[in-house]
Amino acid sequence: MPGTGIGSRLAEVLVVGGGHAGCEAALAAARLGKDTLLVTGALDRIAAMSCNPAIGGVGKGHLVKELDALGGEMARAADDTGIHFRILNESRGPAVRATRCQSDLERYRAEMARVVQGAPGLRVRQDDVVALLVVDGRIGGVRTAGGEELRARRVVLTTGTFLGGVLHRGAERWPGGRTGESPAAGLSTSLAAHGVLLGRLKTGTCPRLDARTVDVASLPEQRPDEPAPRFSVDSGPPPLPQVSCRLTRTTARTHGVIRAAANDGRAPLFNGQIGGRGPRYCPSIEDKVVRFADKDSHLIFLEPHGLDSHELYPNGLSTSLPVDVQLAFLRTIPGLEHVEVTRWGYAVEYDYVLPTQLSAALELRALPGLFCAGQINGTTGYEEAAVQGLLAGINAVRSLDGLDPIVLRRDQAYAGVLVDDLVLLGTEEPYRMFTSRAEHRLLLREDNVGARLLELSDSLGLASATRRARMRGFEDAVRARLRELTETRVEPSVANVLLQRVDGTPLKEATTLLQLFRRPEVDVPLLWELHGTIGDIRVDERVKVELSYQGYIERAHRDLARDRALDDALLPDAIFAAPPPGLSHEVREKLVRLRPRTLGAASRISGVTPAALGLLAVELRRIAASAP
Amino acid sequence: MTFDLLRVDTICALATADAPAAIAVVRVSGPRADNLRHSMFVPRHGAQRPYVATRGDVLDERGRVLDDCVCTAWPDGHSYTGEASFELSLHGSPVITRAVLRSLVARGCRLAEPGELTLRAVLTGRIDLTAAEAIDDVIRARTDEAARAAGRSLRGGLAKAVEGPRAALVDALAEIEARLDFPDEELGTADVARLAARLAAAHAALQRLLRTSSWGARLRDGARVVLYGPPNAGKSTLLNALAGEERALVHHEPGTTRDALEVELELGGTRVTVIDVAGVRPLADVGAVERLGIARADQERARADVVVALVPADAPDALATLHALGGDVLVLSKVDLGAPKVIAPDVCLVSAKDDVGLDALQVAIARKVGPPGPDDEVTLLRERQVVCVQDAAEALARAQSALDQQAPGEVVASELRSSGRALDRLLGKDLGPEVLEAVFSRFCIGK
Repeated sequence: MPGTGIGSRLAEVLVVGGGHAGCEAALAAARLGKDTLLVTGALDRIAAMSCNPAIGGVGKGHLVKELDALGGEMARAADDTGIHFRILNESRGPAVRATRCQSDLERYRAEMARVVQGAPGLRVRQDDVVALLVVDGRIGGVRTAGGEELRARRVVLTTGTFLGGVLHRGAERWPGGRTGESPAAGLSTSLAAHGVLLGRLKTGTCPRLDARTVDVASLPEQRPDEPAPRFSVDSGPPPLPQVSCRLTRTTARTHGVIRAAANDGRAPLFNGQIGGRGPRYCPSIEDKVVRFADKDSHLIFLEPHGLDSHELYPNGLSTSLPVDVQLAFLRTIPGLEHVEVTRWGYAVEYDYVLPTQLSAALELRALPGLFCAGQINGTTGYEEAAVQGLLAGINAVRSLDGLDPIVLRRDQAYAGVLVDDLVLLGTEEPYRMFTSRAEHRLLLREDNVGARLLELSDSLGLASATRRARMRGFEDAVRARLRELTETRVEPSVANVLLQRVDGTPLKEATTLLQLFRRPEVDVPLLWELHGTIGDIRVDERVKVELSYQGYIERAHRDLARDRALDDALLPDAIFAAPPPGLSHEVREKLVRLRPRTLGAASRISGVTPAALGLLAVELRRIAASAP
Repeated sequence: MTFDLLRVDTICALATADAPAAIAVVRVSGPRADNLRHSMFVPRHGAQRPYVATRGDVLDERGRVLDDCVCTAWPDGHSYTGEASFELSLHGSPVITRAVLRSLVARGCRLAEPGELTLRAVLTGRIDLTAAEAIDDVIRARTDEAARAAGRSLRGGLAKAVEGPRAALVDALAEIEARLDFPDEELGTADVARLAARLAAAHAALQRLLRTSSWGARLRDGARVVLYGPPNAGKSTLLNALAGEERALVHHEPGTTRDALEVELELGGTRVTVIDVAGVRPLADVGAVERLGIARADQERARADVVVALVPADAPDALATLHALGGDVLVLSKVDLGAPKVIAPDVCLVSAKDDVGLDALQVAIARKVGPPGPDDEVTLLRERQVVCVQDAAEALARAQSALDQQAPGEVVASELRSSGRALDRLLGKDLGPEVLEAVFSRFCIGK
């Protein structure tokens, strides 16, 4: 076989894993011109959705749009294969307003696989990776179960829940990364042998239901939004027919069945069988029933798996209870009295790399050249995984090219918050994005992704020229509209009739449309009436947000100015080799271990005091002064 | 590498301990130092030269003398910090140093973080690291001494004082954030009335804390008591009567450039400044000059610690007018012209002419002014802390009004967080994980 064996180089970038992180990493590396190889345990499971058939949501929709702006694939694929799109938080403010879709799970997988398989410069291979090849302290490739050595200059690990994966259901436990697929054995040992610290996490999924045994007509319907919101600037209207979800809820009887099973020691979560820590925000139904005993009912969303599927995903019913208990409690739920299960729910325990061992480029400090992305870093969610895969792929390429990594700022993107949180604070439960994690939330909106990331995207050149031109076109239109509204004056004779209708204070003299549009009572349709022409709804809604949030945005920028000075001060390696005297033992240990990239990053590490920052700043200046 | 960390603004700091001493030194450094010095320091004789200790008056932003002091100035590149800077050697009373620092802040100066002046000295290359460490040691020793002087219990007291407001912020944030991040959960609507009440209590607690810090200023400046009411309500007569009665007239300053008259006197052991302003009446009825006077009256009223509202007893609907006017102390004046038919318990009846009700009025004003405050409490809050609590209170007030106006949750949350951050700066805590913790312990969230 050509290209194999010791000493031969098989790829510039090798990606282990074909999930949401792996696909983005491999596509980014290949599209940036590197010879890329994606190795996965099951080629026909590329981009599989292991859990719910949905993409986006609060914080997550933001991530998907950021990924789109930077040149990722998930947004467009989701748009093309979505069968139910909604805007969440319509009334809670533009910053937390978010896009979410139900995906046709099989079509999404097939679409992503089509793109991956067809990408120039990207080869795929089905194989089990069992060990890392390390040469002179740097990554040199991986070894497969068959003993073959795949050489590569950069490796991106995206093993998802497969790293040392063990599945649990009732008293049963068996090795696996996902139901029906074997885990990545050996890789954990290999990582540990090279000094990488691993932790253990737990997550779970719901049983799937046969829709033909559910009394769908009796259940309340949740319709998709019209027109369908989109993730990608490239997308037109959804090509697939749009469908509804159904709502139902657990009952006192459901909780009784679950509580009885837990009391009998049949819940692996409570009887000590599962040790890994699970996500608090995605708890199993047994967790919810036991921990929130006062709540006598929980809402369940019945989400279709796809247009050609009879399976339903009962969102809210993640469980690892034994199969007889699963069926028993399901049948206590309205509409599910005669339900048949197509697949049982289970929990999965898996190893993750403590992400504080990563640099902000998502590269393992202990093994230069080895990048990690997705659930292996302790996150949960397709979107969190995809955006890390994209960044890891980009940064693997940049490190090959001798360029500085892309590190997004916390005030620039949720992706920046995600990486910064992971590498500085780490995580002890599966990390999911929330908007409340972003201290600059009002600046990080879905509507201003272009303003935040277009400049960077242009310099990266990963997103297609067309996509970037669309984003630029929108930003230009917003600026042009602001100028137009500033220059257009309205006479009281015209405005007051319209203002009267919304109880607005009448004008005494002519004013600009911009001033009028600032008023809370003047919305986009009213603006058009005042103007006498119909504008672009997306442009005008964006302008409205900018105007109504101007005060907050300005205040946020003032707060930022100081943080920014700290974030611009890069900490050189020399400072960790010989930390300045005067630092406490704890601070010194943390700095050497976490190696924050900037003074700002150092300031976000718990226990780093202003005094310690001062000493670092002093040292920084001294190093700069003594440099030739 | 371009590295101009922190060297963006002008900072000031008390260079000596925040405790009574013979001399206290306030140091100002940064690009605006020279401008600030020109605006606040008036040399006694001739012009000031660099490096030369110069005697003169330091003025507050209203042009009032804060202290008689010695000022030394250094040009850019030749000072301790390497930046343009000056030092004021003041009389060592915390009341004076605090007033000077507050006035610097009012002029746009920022209070330095601990050690920041030394940090700048190193950043500008004025001293090397070993020197900085030595200075740091000295500062640390001094801080400890100052801390001992102030008493550890007081610092604990401060943390305790903001504990309640902080808990209210976390509570409100948990309620709001849960609904922002989990729109598909059935969390119901937040109990806005309960949150509003908790936030109001938190705001009141912060205000109380701030008031303890203003005792110092009050000891020096006296509380500002404004006499406010329609023209010919007898305000000037009352002012003279109060002044004469006390026989403690410090100075009597006719409003030459401004149409307000100020008299400083002592009332119940506290110094107060009583201000007589132009009579107020509907703006439609008045000319341009009087309009200015009324605007000035409203400004004084907004700035005052205590507002005494006056309406003549013989005016039509006197009581109703008085209540509509509002104030901390309500007075029906000129009762010699005819006592009102209905007596309201919260209204003082006064005739300055016949010396009726003046004692009761003084007691009422003194009660509103409050006690002068024990000396040791003046040092409860350092200026940096005052600024933190002030920032927290202001952001909290914005959050309250956003909540009240049914602004989007993300706006309320943003203000609450900015209030929380200010308290964090005060205490050195992090609000982030704490809010998530509160969300997850309270709500059953997730699918």
